[in-house]
Amino acid sequence: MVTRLLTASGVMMSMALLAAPLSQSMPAGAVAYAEMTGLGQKLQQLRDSDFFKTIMNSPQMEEAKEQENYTKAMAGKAFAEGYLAMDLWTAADKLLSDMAVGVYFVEDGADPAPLMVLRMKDQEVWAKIRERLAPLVLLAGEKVKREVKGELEYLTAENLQVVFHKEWAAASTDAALLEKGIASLTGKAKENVAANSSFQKMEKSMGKGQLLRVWSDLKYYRELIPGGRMNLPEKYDDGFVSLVLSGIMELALKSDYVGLTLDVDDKGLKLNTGIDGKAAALGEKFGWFFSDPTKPGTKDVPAVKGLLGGMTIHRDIADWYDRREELMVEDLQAGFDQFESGVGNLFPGRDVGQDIIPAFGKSITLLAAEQTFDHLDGAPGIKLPGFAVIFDLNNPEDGAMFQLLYQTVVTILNFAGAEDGNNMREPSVMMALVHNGTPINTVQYLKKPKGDRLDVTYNFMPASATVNGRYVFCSSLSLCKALVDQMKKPQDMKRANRNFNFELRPSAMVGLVKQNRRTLLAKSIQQGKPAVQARQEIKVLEDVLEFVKLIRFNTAVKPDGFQLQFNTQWN
Amino acid sequence: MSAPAGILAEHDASDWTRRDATHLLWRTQFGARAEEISAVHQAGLSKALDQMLAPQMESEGFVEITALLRETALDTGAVADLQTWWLHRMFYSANPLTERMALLWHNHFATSFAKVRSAPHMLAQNDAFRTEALGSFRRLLHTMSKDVAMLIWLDGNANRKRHANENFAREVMELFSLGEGNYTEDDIKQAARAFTGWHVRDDEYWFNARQHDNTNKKLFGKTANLDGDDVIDLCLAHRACARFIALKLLREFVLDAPTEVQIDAVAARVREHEFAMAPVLRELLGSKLFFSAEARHARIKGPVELILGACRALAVRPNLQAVNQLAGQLGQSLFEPPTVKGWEGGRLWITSASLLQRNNFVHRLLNGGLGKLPEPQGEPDHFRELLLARAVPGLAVKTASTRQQVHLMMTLPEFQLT
Repeated sequence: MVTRLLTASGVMMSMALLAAPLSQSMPAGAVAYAEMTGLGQKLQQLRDSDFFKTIMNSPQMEEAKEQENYTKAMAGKAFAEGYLAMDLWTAADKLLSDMAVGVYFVEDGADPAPLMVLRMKDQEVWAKIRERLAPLVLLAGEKVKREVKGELEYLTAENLQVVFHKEWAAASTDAALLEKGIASLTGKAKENVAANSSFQKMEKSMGKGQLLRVWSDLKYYRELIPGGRMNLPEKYDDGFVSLVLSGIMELALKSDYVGLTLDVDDKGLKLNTGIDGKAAALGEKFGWFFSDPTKPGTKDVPAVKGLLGGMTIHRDIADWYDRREELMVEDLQAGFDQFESGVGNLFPGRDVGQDIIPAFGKSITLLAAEQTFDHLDGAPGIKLPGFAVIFDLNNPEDGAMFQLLYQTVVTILNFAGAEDGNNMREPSVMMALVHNGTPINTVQYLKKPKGDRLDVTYNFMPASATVNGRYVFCSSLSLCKALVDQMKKPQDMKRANRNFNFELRPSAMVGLVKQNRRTLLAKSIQQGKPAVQARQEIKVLEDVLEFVKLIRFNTAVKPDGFQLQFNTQWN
Repeated sequence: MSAPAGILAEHDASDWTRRDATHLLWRTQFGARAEEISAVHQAGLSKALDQMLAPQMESEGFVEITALLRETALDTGAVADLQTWWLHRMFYSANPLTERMALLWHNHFATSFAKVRSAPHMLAQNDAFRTEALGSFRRLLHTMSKDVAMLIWLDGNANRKRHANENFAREVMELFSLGEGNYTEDDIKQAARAFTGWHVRDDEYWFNARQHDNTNKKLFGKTANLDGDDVIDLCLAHRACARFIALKLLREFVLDAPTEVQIDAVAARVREHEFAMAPVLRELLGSKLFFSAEARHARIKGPVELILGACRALAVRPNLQAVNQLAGQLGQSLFEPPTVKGWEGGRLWITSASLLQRNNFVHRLLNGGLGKLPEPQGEPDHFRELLLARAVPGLAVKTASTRQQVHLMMTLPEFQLT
């Protein structure tokens, strides 16, 4: 009876281990860890998708097949399939269940060693494959040593040791680490990766069960690298990095972990990266970088018709600019002075540092959308989308100051057109119109340009407006009108809890590709491609764009951390 | 009409070799493939010349792609698209001699996009070069005097009744018809008055009657109320004009530095045929002079000729964007000649830097950098005849692969010549 109970409890324990995430079967002490769950199934989904078939049948793929590396890869695939006696897709489906890799510092001062574990899905197939290994091991002669210890079969080569079990395989470059792994996999070890408090923090914040999870123990690196700043400078030597990334980097310095999860299903892909820590703990020095996690931060990119993509960033630029000497190295400061005197020319009577920069609110949006050419009697030969920049104004009355800039730009465009001499751009004069109750400043050509292939510069018809305390500057009048309409809708007034948001709508770009198909085809032929191939490639491009509905990258400040999310949705 | 004699007498048909065919093709198109050389060798000189000088039907594919590239150049207005359009024509047209002549006239009436800044005007001018490539130089010179790109290039609109601008009149004489030393400063002043009011308006030639000088002008001994067409006719009637055109034809097709005797001989044929290019070319390309030892390997290949020629010989389908960029680096950006004098060519194509670049180009070509290269197949002799068309002592390197042999041949100084 006791024996039966023990046997039953052993089987149950083994089943529990099989079902549990591999993080519970990997030894404690990892400084970095990655885990994949259900990979075989995802690969099958990929193989069966229309998207994959489109790519595999594309002329680009046919071209790739002519490359030497492709031939080599195919030779390797043929060898592997011959050895496995099944194609690689089937092998992936039959074998790939869960997979984990951990990185450990086994001895102080030594190089890190990896431990890799693969849990097999179909044990019958796995048993047959192990049998087929025998002749290969024999062929390797003294280079590979084979040893069987109970249920375990050890293969030892010069720098690698592999262990096969009927349910899993494990490998490491370090024998002691491998033994620790075996102890964990057979339920004999007390501690594991999942028990690490930093790992648990990540699980709590980012969830579990994703296709891929990656975790790294930042505490360890902080201790390892002297100075506590992981070699990051106190002051940044790149203004762009300072404005866009410095807050995240500073927060990471105080974080216990950095985690990454990836999930894919038939609707899309989600890639999340997270670090923990409270943004407020960085103090006022980096207050300009983060939105308040308890309040909505940025607005979404206005969803105008034909929106191709855009980005919105939350930054208190005025504060960042004020603190530039505190945040960035001395070498950069002269560049800011130069910037002030250069931009100052466009704002006569105003000081950039005192008047212009402080006028910016905390949210700036850039976007591109399809445009119409009603202001022309025809269209440009190359049709570009319209572009817009939208920013919050700290004081709505400051819109007039930017109007001054607008006037200057129009004047410069007229001068530039005149410089072109015989092929000059039609001169334009400033005018104002009212659209949906909002005044729009724009220009009017002296003579309406006529023709089906007007110069590319006719894609640009500057227009500006102030809507709900936000200044809008557009390269297109039609886009400006669409933005006025959209930004007055109640749903556009909502703000999301994001610190940064970038989105791209590839399926909306198909129209733009179609409009410019002739040029794209010509460019491809100029590169030496036959017309048939060039046409097929454009079709594949259209299909791929059509397939992808949305690509979004955004960051969000959470009460206990910071997350970077990459999200793709497909049709 | 008299038949050509002396150095321009017909080449002996019984002495027609494959090497002659290679020589003819490298001079009349942009390089030659082995099968083209075989076909011309088999056809014989007379039939080959008949075919070259008669308009050949273009393939549907060529017509379609050429139209597409042309439309794109008009859509974008970019000079790079104009350039690739023409390179496509040069490489794929069934009438390559027409394209060579168009290039000759482009260099002769050198007009640059850098100032004109208009793809439609540059294309219209280029079309005119093609229309009269094997037609009449007389008509072409008249056409150029009213060509919009040319009028923009040489400041036609600044040429006004009481303030004549001499740019166009000077170039008509110095660069387009007579050459230096065959006119006086006063001739230019008189001619400039005749061209006053030849303006551009709304992208078209416009005779601005209010700005035209309707008084008498005296040119080359003739006094009358001359207009621009009269000036051009007087230039064409000038003895120096035929010699000037003969010099250009000899330098393009026969040798870089022709002698006075050779120029006079060809000038006589130009006059005889009243500036009709096809008959003059037929005589020149079929002459003893053209196939003489003196004329073989006597021209330095221009960049476009070198690059497209090498691609054609090795059956590479070239990346025309890369070809265009390379030609520019070697000093020949189509539609952008460096000055009103065009590319002087000849020895000036070669400098220590450009020679290195020319050799680098060969390396790039043979490594597939300009388009997929079919693996060179054949004996070294085959490639020697295809690429050099001459014996080169000590060339055979038996241990080298065919590709290495081809590389070696194409980096010899002999390969720079045609």
